[in-house]
Amino acid sequence: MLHVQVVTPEKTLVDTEADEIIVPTSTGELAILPQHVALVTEVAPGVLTIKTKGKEETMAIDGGFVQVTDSLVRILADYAVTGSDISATKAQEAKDRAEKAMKEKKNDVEFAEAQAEFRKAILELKLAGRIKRHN
Amino acid sequence: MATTLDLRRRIRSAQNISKTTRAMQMIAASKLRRAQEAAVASRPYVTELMALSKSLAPKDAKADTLHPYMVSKKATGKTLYVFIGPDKGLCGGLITNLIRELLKVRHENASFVTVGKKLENVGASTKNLIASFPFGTTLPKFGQVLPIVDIINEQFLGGKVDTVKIISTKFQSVFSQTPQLIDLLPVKLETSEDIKELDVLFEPSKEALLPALLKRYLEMTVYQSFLESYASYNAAQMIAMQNATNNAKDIVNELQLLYNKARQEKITKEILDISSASVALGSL
Repeated sequence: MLHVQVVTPEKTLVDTEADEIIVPTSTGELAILPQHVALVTEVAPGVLTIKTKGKEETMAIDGGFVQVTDSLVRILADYAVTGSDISATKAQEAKDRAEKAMKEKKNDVEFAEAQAEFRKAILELKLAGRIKRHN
Repeated sequence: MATTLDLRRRIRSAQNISKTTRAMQMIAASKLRRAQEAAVASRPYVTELMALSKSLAPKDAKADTLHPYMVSKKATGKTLYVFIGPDKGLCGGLITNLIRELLKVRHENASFVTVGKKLENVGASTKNLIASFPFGTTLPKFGQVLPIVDIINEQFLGGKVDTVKIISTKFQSVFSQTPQLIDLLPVKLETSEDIKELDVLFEPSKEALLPALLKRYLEMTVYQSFLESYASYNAAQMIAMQNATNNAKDIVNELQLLYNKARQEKITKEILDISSASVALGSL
């Protein structure tokens, strides 16, 4: 068993035991099983999968770092949201809003904020699509 | 002896004050709930980020292999202080305590970046104020941190200062907020005994990971200070306004007693007048 923690600036999202974790990293998707070698790497925006006893939990994750030690996987994410919290329509709306905000960009800070929102929305859409296919 | 009309006026104004302070207390309380959640929730993230950064630092620490954030140059002997406080007062001793920390600092070797109107004036009086930012009255946004980090980078990496420290308020509980000093830069390395020697794999490489990690650490530490300050401010204001409301109510009660006495006295006097007049008339 692996102990997995997903910590974001907003809250500790996940703190459970799991069998397998699939993390998107800057060098491709990485599956972590128990007895994995100690590792530190960068997380790329994408979909994180946590498998426990045949059950799968997915979450959208936007950059960060993952640290693997003995039996602990700690993911420090800039932003993460679980699959069950995502609604595809909401994500689509957010994407449209962010796109609009980027078009009317006022200054660099606002543009960066809009861009971050846009990236989050796309991630959530991606995850929503994956969940739909799954069911 | 104040007249009854005077007293009535004073009672009314004290009542109005208690209403205002009560409203402010309610507002602070509702803001506090969100602020407290945000401040407490992001603490583990910052702690873990810091632990990770430190474990990444090379053990065979030679100055030229370290990231610039980790090197203490000791060239100018100067320190940059980032002071974080609220824009508005009415929050008890919070600002006074912060200013006391500021005055402890030796001014000739320090430059300041202040956040919040209240600290701006004090910072300006030191003549070493580099920049001043507003704090805002809503939950701090992450975007607020970025210009401050830019200035820190410019000062620290440009070699104008040796160290960067943050002075802000730590949110301990609703009843206790204390000023705290955080050593931000250079990032202190832990002595090798504290870190377990592990064969850790770095992907893509240690050198590639560290800058991103340290940048994130810097931003998050500043942001965390913002969140803690915001929570502290609302907690302090809530308590201060609660006290103010209670005091105003005490004053109302005291004045009410005086007013009743004055009114009673007036009535007694009038009766005395009437009765003495009737006695005088009757004796004629």
